[in-house]
Amino acid sequence: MEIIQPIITLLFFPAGLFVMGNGLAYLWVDRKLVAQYQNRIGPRWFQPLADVVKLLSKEEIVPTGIEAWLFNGLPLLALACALTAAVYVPLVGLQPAWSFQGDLIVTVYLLSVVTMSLALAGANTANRFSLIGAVRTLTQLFSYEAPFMLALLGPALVAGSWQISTINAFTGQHWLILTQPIGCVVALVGLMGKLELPPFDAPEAETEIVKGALTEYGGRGLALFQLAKAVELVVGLTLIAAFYLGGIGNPIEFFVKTLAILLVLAGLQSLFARFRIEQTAKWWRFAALLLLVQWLIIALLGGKTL
Amino acid sequence: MSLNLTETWEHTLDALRTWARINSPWAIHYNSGSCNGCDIEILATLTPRYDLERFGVKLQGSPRHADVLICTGPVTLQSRDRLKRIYEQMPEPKFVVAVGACAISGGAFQVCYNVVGHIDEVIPVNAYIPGCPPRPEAIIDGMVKLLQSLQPQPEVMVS
Amino acid sequence: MLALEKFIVPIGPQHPALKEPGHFEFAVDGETVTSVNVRLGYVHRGIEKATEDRNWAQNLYLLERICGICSHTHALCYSLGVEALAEVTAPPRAQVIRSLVAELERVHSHFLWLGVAAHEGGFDTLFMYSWRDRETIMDVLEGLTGNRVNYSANVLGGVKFDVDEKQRAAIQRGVDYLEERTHHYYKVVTTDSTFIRRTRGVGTLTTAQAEHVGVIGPMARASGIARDVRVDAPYAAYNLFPVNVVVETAGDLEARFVVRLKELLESYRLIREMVDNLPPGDLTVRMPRKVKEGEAISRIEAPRGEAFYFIKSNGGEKPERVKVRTPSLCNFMSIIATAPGHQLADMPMILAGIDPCFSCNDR
Repeated sequence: MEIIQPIITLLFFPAGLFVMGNGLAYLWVDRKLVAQYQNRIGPRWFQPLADVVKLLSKEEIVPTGIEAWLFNGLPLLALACALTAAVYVPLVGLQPAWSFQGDLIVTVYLLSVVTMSLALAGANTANRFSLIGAVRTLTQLFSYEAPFMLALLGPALVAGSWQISTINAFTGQHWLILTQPIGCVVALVGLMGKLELPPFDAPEAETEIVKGALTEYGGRGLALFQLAKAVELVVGLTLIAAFYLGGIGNPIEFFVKTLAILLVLAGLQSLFARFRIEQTAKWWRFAALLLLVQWLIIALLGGKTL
Repeated sequence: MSLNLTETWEHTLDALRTWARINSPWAIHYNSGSCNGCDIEILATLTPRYDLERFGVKLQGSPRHADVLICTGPVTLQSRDRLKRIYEQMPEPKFVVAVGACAISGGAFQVCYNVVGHIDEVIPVNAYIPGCPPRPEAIIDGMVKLLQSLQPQPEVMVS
Repeated sequence: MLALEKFIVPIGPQHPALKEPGHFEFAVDGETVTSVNVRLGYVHRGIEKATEDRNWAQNLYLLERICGICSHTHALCYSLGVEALAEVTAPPRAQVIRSLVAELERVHSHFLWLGVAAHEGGFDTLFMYSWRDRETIMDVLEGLTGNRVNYSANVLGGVKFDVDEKQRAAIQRGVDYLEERTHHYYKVVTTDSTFIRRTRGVGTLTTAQAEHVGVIGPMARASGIARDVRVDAPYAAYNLFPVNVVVETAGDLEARFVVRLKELLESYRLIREMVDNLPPGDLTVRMPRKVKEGEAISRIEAPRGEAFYFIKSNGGEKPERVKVRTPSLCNFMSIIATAPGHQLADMPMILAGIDPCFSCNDR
């Protein structure tokens, strides 16, 4: 019996099927909102699902001259990491399926592995666009990782715990967006960088390097990476909602808060021209500094009592 | 009983695949010698007034991601190999749409010395959209008809 | 130090940045471009040669299909050349209608360019908005000529259609709306901070460089060279409706945006004046079937710069030679001059900045 419960947790609920479905639905919301902001009607509600099913049923072309097991394995690794990260966050307002002291660190690093495997996948393919995409993905990873982590540690600092469920319980009483606005903004923009959404989509800038690291992927690999992105989106939104928007206590709160953040994300996506990669890096240096200043203020004001 | 179940399962899978294929046609566009008019109209179908994304059509950059190759123009000597290569780079199942009079017959450029001919002399074509250039509405109509023809239809032949 | 192989990023012939096939090889060092190589000719169909097999009137329709964006330009330039050879002058009303369609075409072309350039910079919202507004001018052109792209407005010795009251009202309505939108886009490209970061100081072509590589059209005018055929050698009705040349001196991408947007405003003024002051009279004059022996040159200002036609007749029903030089050819050199030293990410915008038209260029 002890082995069945984790399997259910991983494959069906709250990770697995549920979070994938949720992720695809949120991808649709995102695409639809962007389309609406651009004065278009936008895709139908099942669009991301149809995309993924179609990609899964397509022919898989493995380019010659590369490590085939890496080519096939990396998308799986990305999806697995994203799904595992989903286990530690309070999805749908329930307690996280697994929890231990310090799971925040694990979650953030699992999300990084998703990006790492994307970069590796790009570096593994002998395609110029993929290589440049991989380099840019890594550059972007290094530049946003620190500020994003710092932004998530801000709430951890005031809650006095590195356990997501504890922080969630603490933020239930405190709307940290009011006391740590900089952290909230940086976390939000960090999530955009993580998901390579416009304007931080230099790693997969279509007009320069086609699709970046994923240029050679068709079929299954692309579908798995898309699913991983979808799951990452849900996990990221949940983290930000739990940390900055007054915690997540029940399903209604979960959906309202994550969708509200998604609304803002879609708006930001359609507002700006693409950042060049060195502009992105500059932005993040600035963001990290700002965060450190905010930390200093929190520390001076007495941390926990905030 | 078990055979029946497998059959049903296969049937369901097939239906699911067809459904996904019809609803998510990612397109790639190649101009093999056209005058630009058709290309501009194809681009116009993505914009707010026509919005081809309603039907799930997304213009992709990499042939690896595409299901539908939208070709415009007659095929020139220089771009013939490119066109073939792009077609071969696309994963199965793949479809080709020839947009415009030149792509269908060579159009005004039939007698030009550097023109090899129309698209289906080089690669197989699934749908033809006539016009010089076709209106965006016609392109949308052609795409939708191509997608409808993927639907298994035992009795009616698709014209 | 090891002699490293150059890492070359190919753009084209099939690439999302280019809607048409052209081939650019960017040698990059990290993200910085060190050299550029251009290869053209993917769209070469041999139109110039094909003109020799068709009679004077048939060529009009073939040459119109050199380019789908500036189709009127080619037909007009050819008509002017042939009319000069045959010593025929189109009636004044036809001349004004020709200029009117040319200006409407400029509006559609510049809007198209605005959208494409924004898309290259990853600013899809601006792309969608400008193309939505472009549909207004497409409607006007369709109402006027019957086709969205190949207007076929010219015949040798005149134009095919008249502008009636209803169409006049439609043109004015369209232009009023677009003028308002153009002011808005002008504000966006000159004040939006993320957009300016991608355009200001990028791809700068100084006046001296511009003279050296011989750029024309909006490219030249963005680099401080007041070069415009409509002013230097007025054709059709441009001596009746003088053009104020828009000149910017910065020479960077932003200046190219500004020049084209200001030209739009200038075009609106011209269009309004033209529809209000259409001279009465016939639309065509009789054109002989055979054109007198001789050579003629005609130049007109296409949306992208100066289009140049050389036409030679041996007195028969068909031309002896038609040579076309389109503006894009002159501007390609500026990419080679400006690209090295820039980031790879700037390349699509620099490419789009010259508004390249490969089908014009290769023919």
